[in-house]
Amino acid sequence: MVGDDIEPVSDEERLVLGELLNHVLDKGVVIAGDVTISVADIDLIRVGLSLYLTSVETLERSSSSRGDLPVLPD
Amino acid sequence: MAIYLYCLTEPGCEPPAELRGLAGEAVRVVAAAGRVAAWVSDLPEGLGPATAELARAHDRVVRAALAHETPLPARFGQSFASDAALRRELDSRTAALERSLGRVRGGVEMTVRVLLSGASGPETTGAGRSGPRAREGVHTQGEVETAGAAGVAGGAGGAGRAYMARLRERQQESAELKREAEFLQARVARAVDGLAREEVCSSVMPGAHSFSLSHLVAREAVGEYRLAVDSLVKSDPSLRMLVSGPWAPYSFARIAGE
Repeated sequence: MVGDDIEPVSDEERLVLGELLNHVLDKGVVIAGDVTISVADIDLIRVGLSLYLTSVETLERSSSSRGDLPVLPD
Repeated sequence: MAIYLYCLTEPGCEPPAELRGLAGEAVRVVAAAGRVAAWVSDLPEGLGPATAELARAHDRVVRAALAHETPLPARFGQSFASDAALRRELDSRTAALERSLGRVRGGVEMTVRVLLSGASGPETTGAGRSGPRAREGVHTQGEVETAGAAGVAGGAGGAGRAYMARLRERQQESAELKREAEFLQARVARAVDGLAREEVCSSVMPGAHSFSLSHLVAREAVGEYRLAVDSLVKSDPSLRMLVSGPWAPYSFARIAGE
């Protein structure tokens, strides 16, 4: 559902994307409107979570890095 | 022309002229009653299904607002038939929206993703983990489900028993994860005590083996917050948690009273 635009360059980026999807798709104020783009929300959230977990795993294996997640660039 | 909603702000928070939203559309303000305004853009038809790129574009606009002042971020995917249609919705709950905006004013969201012991990864975290273990005493919880299971499995033979054992195992595991999550949540809460105005905990999703804790933190306290979580993680090598932020307060963007 997410299509070809997830071609993550690094695990860190996947991590950030996973966290972004979890915030943007699942939270935030809901004003009743037509929810035109949200048909795929659930899929995107699942993708976000699994991206997250696999990235964390790889990151932990490859380095002792833990603690801060890079902040999204503007 | 349909419009797409990014966030709500107090009046006077203007998007930069060069800011572009979904599909490269310019972002503009729709002023509503009271001290409520919305950042929107036109929504071209045929945008297609949700993609990560669209979600990124949404957050980019919200972040531009956050650079000025703290907005009430909208959940991804909401569109309205026209400016007037959006204004009608906003004007029907002016007071509540003003309260919600007031609640997040001056704050940002910091999120700690906490991985539970069952999360995939190297087995290095098993020893010395400080989460509660208590495997005992969980057996009695599954009466309702096991009754159903007996029906499914025909109630006889090894297959049925194996099925019920699996069920019990899964229940035990999820009860254990829940306890571990509560324990870790309390540890994080203690670590950031005094820095967080509010806390929201995402539920542990089945099979996800992680949960997130979001805190509403004053902008000027972000550095201190990071240090607090960092020293918690350093104090106990078995902890696996990652901080992200500052985010716009997505987890705290509820309409007051709803």
